[in-house]
Amino acid sequence: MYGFEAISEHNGWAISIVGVLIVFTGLVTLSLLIRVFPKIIEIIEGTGKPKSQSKKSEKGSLRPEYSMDDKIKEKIKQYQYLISWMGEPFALPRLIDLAQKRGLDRPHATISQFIHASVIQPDGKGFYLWHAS
Amino acid sequence: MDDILKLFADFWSNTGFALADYRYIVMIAVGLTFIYLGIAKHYEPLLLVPIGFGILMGNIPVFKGLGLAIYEDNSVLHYLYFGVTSGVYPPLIFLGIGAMTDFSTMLARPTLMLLGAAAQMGVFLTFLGALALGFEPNHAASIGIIGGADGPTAIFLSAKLAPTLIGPIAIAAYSYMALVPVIQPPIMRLLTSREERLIQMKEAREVSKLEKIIFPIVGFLLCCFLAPAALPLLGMLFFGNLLKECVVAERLAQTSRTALIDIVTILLGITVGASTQGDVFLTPSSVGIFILGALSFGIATASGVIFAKIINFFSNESINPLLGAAGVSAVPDSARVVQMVGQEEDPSNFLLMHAMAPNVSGVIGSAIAAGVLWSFMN
Repeated sequence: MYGFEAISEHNGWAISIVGVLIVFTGLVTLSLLIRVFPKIIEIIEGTGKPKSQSKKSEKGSLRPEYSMDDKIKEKIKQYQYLISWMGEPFALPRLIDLAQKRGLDRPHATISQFIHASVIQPDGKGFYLWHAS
Repeated sequence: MDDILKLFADFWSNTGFALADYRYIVMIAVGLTFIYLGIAKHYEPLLLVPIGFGILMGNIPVFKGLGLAIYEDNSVLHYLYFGVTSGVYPPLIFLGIGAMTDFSTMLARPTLMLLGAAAQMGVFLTFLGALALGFEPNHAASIGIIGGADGPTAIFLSAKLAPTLIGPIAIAAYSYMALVPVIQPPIMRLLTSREERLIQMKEAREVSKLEKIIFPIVGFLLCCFLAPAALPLLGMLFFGNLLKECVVAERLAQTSRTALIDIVTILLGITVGASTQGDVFLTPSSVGIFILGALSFGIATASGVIFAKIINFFSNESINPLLGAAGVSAVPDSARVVQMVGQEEDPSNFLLMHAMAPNVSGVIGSAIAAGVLWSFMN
């Protein structure tokens, strides 16, 4: 038996529709629960008010401020060395490539942090400049 | 002299050269291709190299009755293969995946989980396609799960529903997972405009440690109450993640994400490869499985991307529709592909972290889909 006849014979339509609905129900319910996690945690911890951080990122600009902790300072040193070797202005894919070859930790995430913190800035011509003080 | 010649003749008749037929040669060529893709092209080398070498091992023609081939009782390979046919290996791999997965991007933006659910449409549409092509329902369900792009889940479901098809289904699933960087980008580009690919995602909120600890417990309870048949996979996935996040069991988490998963991957790869013995593997149904598997993968990718566009239509906060392609659970390859395609348009657009959200929810979604199909087929 082939085609639609086979699908109907084996109850395929119903299985597929119910299957998709169950998968969606599971993940939608889980996502709704995850959404209330921060509020539940606030209640558990008894602080009363939701943390300002999540509110801040909702309301505030797309580029939140980053604090330069020691870890980031260390990363800046590593990348500064790479960029001094490459020369400025530099291409981001090349910087990522070099960082990966040197075995630096999570280059995409680190460079993203640098861009958000304006340590790396676009030169307007498709390349980037290093602005760490 | 005659005795010597007779011994030589007997010896020759038992060698691989005398026993080989074209099917073994074809499969050896496939095995060599896998090894080449793994080593030279870096396509999922941790999977393709063991599977490729396993294919070579399984396609050395051996004299039946010596207890050498994987399908012969009491052969060493047969004992190792038990972990596949009994469904033992996939949950152990899920334990390792759980212990190495950071769910924080998903926790920070739970809406992206829906993309992981949407990509599972590929599973059920392929199930229908396989039924239409005349496959038995059990077999069709196992073929459909290839669209989940999750090798261990595909093997687990096949072991339960279609043990005779484990070889082709596993090879198809892992082949397409390895070929994610080739299969997905054209579909993603076809279904999105340049403006859509340029959308930058908002920075995600920070997720607290407590949230990360609560998530695997709540996730496990909810998903397994909803689809109890997913218990072996999701139980181990969430347990592994709890080990990772609770910090106090770091030794166990470390073992799960390194030694244990590596050992199981080696055993799984070698035995799945060896199960592709030419005379058993090269059948018309294997060809059908490969074609349906490719379709399944394509549909899953397209479903995720289209669903992301639908979300954008109703939501104020735009999401980059490329993220939908990461809903297939090939972790982290499909997330990397999203990053790559996004950066082709704008090198300053970093989508990788955001793509990990649908990617890991796809793992959960495909395990639920497998559980649902298993329970329906029983």
